[in-house]
Amino acid sequence: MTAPTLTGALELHHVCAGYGKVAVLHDIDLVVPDHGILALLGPNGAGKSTLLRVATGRTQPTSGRVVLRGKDVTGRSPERLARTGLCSVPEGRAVFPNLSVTDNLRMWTYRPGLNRKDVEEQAFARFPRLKERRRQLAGRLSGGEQQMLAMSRALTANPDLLLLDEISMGLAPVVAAELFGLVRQIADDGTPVLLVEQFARTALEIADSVSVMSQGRIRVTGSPDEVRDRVLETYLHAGASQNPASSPSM
Amino acid sequence: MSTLLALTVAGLVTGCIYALTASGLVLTYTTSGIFNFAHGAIGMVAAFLDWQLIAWGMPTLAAFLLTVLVLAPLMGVAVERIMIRRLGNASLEVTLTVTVGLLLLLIALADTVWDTRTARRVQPFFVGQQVTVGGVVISYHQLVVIAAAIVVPLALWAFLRLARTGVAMRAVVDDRELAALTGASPSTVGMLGWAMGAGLAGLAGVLLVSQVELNAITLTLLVINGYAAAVMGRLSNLPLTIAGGLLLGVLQSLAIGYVTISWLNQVQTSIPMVFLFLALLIAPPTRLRVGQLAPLLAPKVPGARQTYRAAAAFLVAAGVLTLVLPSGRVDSFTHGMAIAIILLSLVPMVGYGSMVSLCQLTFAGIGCVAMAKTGGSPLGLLAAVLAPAAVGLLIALPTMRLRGLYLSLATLAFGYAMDDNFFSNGSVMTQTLGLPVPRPLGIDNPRAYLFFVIAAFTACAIGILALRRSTLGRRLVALGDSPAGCATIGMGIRSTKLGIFALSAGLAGLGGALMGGQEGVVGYTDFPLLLSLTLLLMAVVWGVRTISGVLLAALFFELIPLLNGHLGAVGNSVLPLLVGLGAVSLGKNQNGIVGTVLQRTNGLRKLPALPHPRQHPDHDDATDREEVLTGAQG
Ligand SMILES: Nc1ncnc2c1ncn2[C@@H]1O[C@H](COP(=O)(O)OP(=O)(O)OP(=O)(O)O)[C@@H](O)[C@H]1O
Ligand SMILES: [Mg+2]
Repeated sequence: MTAPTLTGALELHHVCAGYGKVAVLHDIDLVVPDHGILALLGPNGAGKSTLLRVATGRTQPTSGRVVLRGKDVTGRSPERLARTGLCSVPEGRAVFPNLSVTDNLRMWTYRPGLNRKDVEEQAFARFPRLKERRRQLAGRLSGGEQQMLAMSRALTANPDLLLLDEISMGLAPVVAAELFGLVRQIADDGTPVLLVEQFARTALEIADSVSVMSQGRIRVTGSPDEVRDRVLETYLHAGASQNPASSPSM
Repeated sequence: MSTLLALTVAGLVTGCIYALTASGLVLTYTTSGIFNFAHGAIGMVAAFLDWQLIAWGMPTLAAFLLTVLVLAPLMGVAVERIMIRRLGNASLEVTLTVTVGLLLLLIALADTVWDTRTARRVQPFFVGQQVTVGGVVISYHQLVVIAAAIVVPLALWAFLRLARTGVAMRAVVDDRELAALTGASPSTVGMLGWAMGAGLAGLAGVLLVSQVELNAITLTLLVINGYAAAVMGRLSNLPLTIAGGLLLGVLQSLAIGYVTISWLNQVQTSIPMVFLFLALLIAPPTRLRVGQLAPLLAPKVPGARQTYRAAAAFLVAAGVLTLVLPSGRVDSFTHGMAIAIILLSLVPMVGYGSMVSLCQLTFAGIGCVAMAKTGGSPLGLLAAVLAPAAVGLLIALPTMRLRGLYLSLATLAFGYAMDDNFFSNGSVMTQTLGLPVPRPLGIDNPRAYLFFVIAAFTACAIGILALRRSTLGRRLVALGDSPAGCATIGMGIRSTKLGIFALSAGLAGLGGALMGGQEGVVGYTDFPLLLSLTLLLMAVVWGVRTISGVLLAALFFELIPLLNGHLGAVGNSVLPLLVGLGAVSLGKNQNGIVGTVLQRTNGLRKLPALPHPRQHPDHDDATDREEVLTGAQG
């Protein structure tokens, strides 16, 4: 098992969170290593998106700490976190539908150190389709093109940490593969990635380590090979059994 | 021909001012999600500040620039910081009431600082200088207005299209949370929206003030024209809004010049209403939104037995009170209970149906007039209910396809038009003598009449609670929870809402008739629009979802004049102070004071909290794949 390095890019310590009275995350401990891809798997409703909401400051934890690059950032606003180098592509189409493609790209420049020209150049070089449709409203792009636009933020931001929530949802396998390739490349260039996925197969292929969560708790953490067998088990038993066969590691 | 031209030009100039104020309104609404009913009041205060600076000896131009570029935007920022930011996910009735409270507060402040007895005049720019174009005389001031109406929208357009902050503004309108994730700060953008909106309101106010008198209420209510223009732009599209403003100005000017309808006193005040209703009729229907969550907390509904017990106890207490009350207080209590019935009419509408009428007192006035004309018989009482109910139905009908805010705007425009055209109309009542109102059912003894009004209140309250427990009531609450969900299971939304709105209007009419009966004679100033707003604010601050809330609101309302009497000069500032505090506190206690008490005592049923920041002005209907604000087709 790849033991998580002590100072990860992102650490959650005993984080509990929820919506109003509904508790969703229970005592989450998670370390995103400072290089490579950590895949976070789990069935629907496990709390993966909620975990990302906490990490990005959109939902405040009821207890516990969020540590980004060794700094306690619990309670910081999403925009401050974003400006200090956290890039997160949330679930669904993370673009502004009523803004044109170029205006969307303009918004990516809120990450300090980026200017309009660089962002457009990089995005268009990687996704020529976007260049053809630069004047079109993002909401009128196809689902795949929208996701390319959303991912172009991850591509250009050069963040300290990248959080991705189900980027392959509803995409054709070819497009999904292309996006995963991009994620791999970003990770290889030195950006740590936390990749949330429903579908385990692809994630296990590109990830360097894997955490599985269900019912608001991290159940297993390990290398893809170690987790592969247990994942299926967890999936099959998720919801049915309170105690998955494997014990939480960490 | 030259008159036509002259009228058109004059109308265009006024229209320019409407366009400016309306674009400010749209800007704030889209960026912060809160429709600012105090928009006109901000413009009004700006006009007064401008006058004050000039009176202190500042050059006209300097005063103008200081007001429009600094003071008015600062006002916007302050309002956003103090009142708006904390509203979060508040419901329509709360957001609406907070800005209505701000409106009342600003009017009261202006009246206190600049006493109403002094006449103030603001000179137009370049007094006396003018050019003649094609036989039409155009003053330099008018040229300034036209120039402002050309330059400002262009600058705004360029800012929104080209500046990154402008793009961020549109992005926040589109998806607030995603904007934050890119690093743009939605709250800064919201503040900027309010600053720019207030600046535009100030600009309009300062440009307008030399054309009309410097009067707090007049200036504030003139903005209703701006609302009408904004509705034309579907509250989100700036170019259409500006076109709407110009069109409205011209129509109004032509109507004043050419239309004489003997029974209409003030053609110009009814134009925005007509215009608004036409705009409502052509507006595309609002798409129902899925996944909206219910308000955080709602009061528990008392069961039938509990209701009857409380009602019986209340009646006994009221009976005792009726007997022991000193004679001098009987009338004011009767008046208070009649007000309580009018406020009670807000419970099913606002509390259960999530519709907010801003002209409840107008309905009360219609009820009162209806009874005065038909006599105090049971038939008269029936007329007092049916007439406003029918009118309410007509007002609500065109807005049912649209979201709730439009209904509120329609009622505001209606109340505004009625103030000037109905109650002061010679065929309704003479201005000098007023309209004699009979005591219903011939109950002449003041104490007996007090008990009768209390009994009427109790009966109505029982009826409303029964309604809430009935299938219809549960339907209503379901409606508030999820209109889309209700539509998919085939529940009739429009007829249910219409019915509730008519019922509420009718109930207000009953209250108005009973109030008129107590007063004996009503005058044309007895049902002013602004008082409707005050009453709404009271009800919401005390708790419009509960009977006890509105009862307390009514009693409190009756207490204010007493307080004023005792406190003398200080008393005059009591109301604005209370209004302001109430409006500010709403941000925290969104179920009103009674709601807060209930919360302490566990009388509220808890619903899951909302995780997302405020639902944005559901501009999805309007800007359906259309560039936000700038309105360019994609
Ligand atoms: N806005 C909300 N209000 C209340 N509860 C919520 C809200 N959003 C999510 N939940 C609840 O939190 C739990 C976790 O949801 P979350 O979206 O984090 O799951 P997830 O692991 O991302 O699922 P999926 O794979 O379907 O995206 C679910 O039980 C859900 O019902
Ligand atoms: Mg999810």
